[in-house]
Amino acid sequence: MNRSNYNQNYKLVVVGGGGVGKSAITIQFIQKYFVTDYDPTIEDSYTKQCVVDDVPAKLDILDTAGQEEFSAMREQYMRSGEGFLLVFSVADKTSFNEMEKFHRQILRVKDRDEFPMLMVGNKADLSSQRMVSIQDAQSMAMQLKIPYIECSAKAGMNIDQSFHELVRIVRRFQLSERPPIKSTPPKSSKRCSIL
Amino acid sequence: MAKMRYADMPRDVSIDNFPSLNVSEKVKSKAYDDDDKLEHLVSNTEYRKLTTYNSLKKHPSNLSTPSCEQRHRRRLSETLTCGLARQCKTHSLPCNMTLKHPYSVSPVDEKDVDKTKGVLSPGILPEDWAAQLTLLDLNIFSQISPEELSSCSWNKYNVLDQILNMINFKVSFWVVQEILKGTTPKLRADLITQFIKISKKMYDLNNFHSLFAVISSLQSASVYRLSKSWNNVSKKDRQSFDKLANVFSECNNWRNLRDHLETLRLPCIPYLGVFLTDLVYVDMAHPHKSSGLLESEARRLKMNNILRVISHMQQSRYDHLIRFSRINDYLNSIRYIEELHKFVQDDQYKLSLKLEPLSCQTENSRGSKESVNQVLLDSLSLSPAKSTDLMRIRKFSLCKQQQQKTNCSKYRSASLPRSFLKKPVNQSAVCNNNSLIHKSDEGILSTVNSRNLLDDSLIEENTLDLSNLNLSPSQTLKGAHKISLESCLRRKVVLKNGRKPAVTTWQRYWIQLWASVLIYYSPKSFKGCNRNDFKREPCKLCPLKGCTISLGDNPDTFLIKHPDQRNTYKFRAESDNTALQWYRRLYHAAQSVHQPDTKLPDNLISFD
Repeated sequence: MNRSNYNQNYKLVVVGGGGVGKSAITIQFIQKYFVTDYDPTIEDSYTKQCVVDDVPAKLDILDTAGQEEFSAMREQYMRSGEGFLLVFSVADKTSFNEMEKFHRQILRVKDRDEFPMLMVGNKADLSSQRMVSIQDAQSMAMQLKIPYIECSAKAGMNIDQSFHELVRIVRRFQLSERPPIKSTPPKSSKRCSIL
Repeated sequence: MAKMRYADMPRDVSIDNFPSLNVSEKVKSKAYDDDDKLEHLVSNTEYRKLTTYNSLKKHPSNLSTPSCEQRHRRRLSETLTCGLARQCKTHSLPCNMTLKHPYSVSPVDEKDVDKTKGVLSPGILPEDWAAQLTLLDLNIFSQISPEELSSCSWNKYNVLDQILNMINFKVSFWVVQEILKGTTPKLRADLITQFIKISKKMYDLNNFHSLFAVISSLQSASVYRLSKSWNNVSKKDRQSFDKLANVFSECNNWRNLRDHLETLRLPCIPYLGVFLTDLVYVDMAHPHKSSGLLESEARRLKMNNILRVISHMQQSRYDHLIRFSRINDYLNSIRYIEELHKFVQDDQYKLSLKLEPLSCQTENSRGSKESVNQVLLDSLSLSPAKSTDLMRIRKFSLCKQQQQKTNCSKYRSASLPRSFLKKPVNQSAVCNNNSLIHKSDEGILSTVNSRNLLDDSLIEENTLDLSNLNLSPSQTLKGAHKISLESCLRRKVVLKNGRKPAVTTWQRYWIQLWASVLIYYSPKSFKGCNRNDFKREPCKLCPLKGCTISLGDNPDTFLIKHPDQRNTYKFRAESDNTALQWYRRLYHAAQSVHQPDTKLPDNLISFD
């Protein structure tokens, strides 16, 4: 399959309740080593180039940490997202229970039955404070028909994997959505085969 | 003295909350709700006051009389101020000016908010709404302290921020609620337009807090999907909405909004959300060290940069705006309980679905198919230069129905630009190809009522450029879709729109039967019956839905009758045998379309 046909810019949105560590995940992913120089106000502070499955991709990550209370505005920025990370904290049952709400809201805004999403259980390193078991999370993910991954922003565990997996999901989705029709026009010119 | 009265105003109003000077109107007008009886009682008192006021006007010297009248007078002056404000606002007089002469101008009544009409209440202009929202916002915005922000713990515990959010919620909730109150698409369009106008005024006032609330509510799932209503909004208003929405685009880390804020001059109420996110990230990147007493240098610097901007904006003054107590009361009376937000949102969405149900297209499609549709449309490059204006107009008028449906999908899609269907050229492209797009795996074309193709709009040297369609017939040969029959046929109009045309001629075509659709190719030259003598691009498509096929008088002819269109065509083949073959195939094709429901696979988009 010729992937170069596809737009390799991905708009990914990180959603989740307050205090689940969305910003930690995002910052871990984007600025792994140079956190001290980080300036959140500049234009490309939330973009990252990476290579997923040998294909380069530019990720544009939208994280609205700190704006959780402005939930009325959520739908607006959901509309532009191509893939969603649904983040909760395994140490916070409420944030886990919100997953369904976010899931429904995304599908509603997108007006679809399914959309590229990945459920992420953050703070997996806090095993002593764990409130949500892996089984519970997985069954919820099954129910929502989205994959599940556990990570820890603090320990730097599974962060890249989460984003890369989401990129794969988005790619798969886009592939199923749009057959690579851009390559067809040249074919159609030598169309005399009817004769 | 006047100043003091003005300062007293809000308390005074909130205590007794009288509907004042337009009382006389009120007495005449019909009761709107249960409270009205009470208001009528009140209105007697008010009426008395009005007469008092008139007498006062006649004898201005009485003004100084300290008595029980004073309270009444204060209220009167209030109303006057408000009224005056409306007059003076355009000249941007400071409010003090009007207060100096409260009694010298005849009263201009501040209109009551009509509960049934809400934001469309007569007499209340968009700028009034914008001004009142701005004043409410400013009051709260100016109270936020930098400590509260820098602590980064506003998420749950900070009271002020909760109030701030409350306002935001309230506005969003109010906007959606108001729009959904509209019973007809036209009415809803009026409401949407009104909110767009209010947004424009707020943009002029630099109130980005409420502006964002309104803009995002217009983009909420419940409102955004109301395509019928949006279609009724004028193009100009839609453009200004797009422009405003673009300001709040989250692209490039809110670049548009940030750039815009930098060019602004006070007064300004910013959208705090972006600052809050920045603060969270600074907090994350430079964590507060619990061990050391001093904050790290970088954290302090970056925090301060953000806080300085906010505190600068907190110096905003909107003194030229005047409080309208009644609009204020109305806005304050919007009840909103944060905990119920989720349920409210669900309810609003349900209501939205009820007002404009999902189109049949959505019901039948799996969603994913829809975007295939879009992508196909995107890839169609029917060159507009090639098609004649006449044709464009005809197509345009004929495919209004389909257009409506396509528009539905437009608003629900994220990938299609909003302006996509605003261009008539594209619209013609859409409907020209609707019939082509809806192709099932079995090669049965869905029963599209593409009437533009059914009427005999034969266009010589047809300009329809279908070459770029990726569903061109040649490709169907490669795939599973077979052309069951093709040959050169001559066609003549027998009946058109139920009438017999005066002059009819035999026209030569290369015709293919593809599933249940006839594909016509116009001739290249005057003679010749081979495929080479006809154009490669099809010139028209004709679904056989509802058609009656019969044999003609001569053995080499057969007839196709479109009952709904009352059109009949006679076809003539080169031999009797071919005609008979055509007749059989067409008969079967038409038959198979007669019971489409049983045959159509699930994933087929049906437009019926």
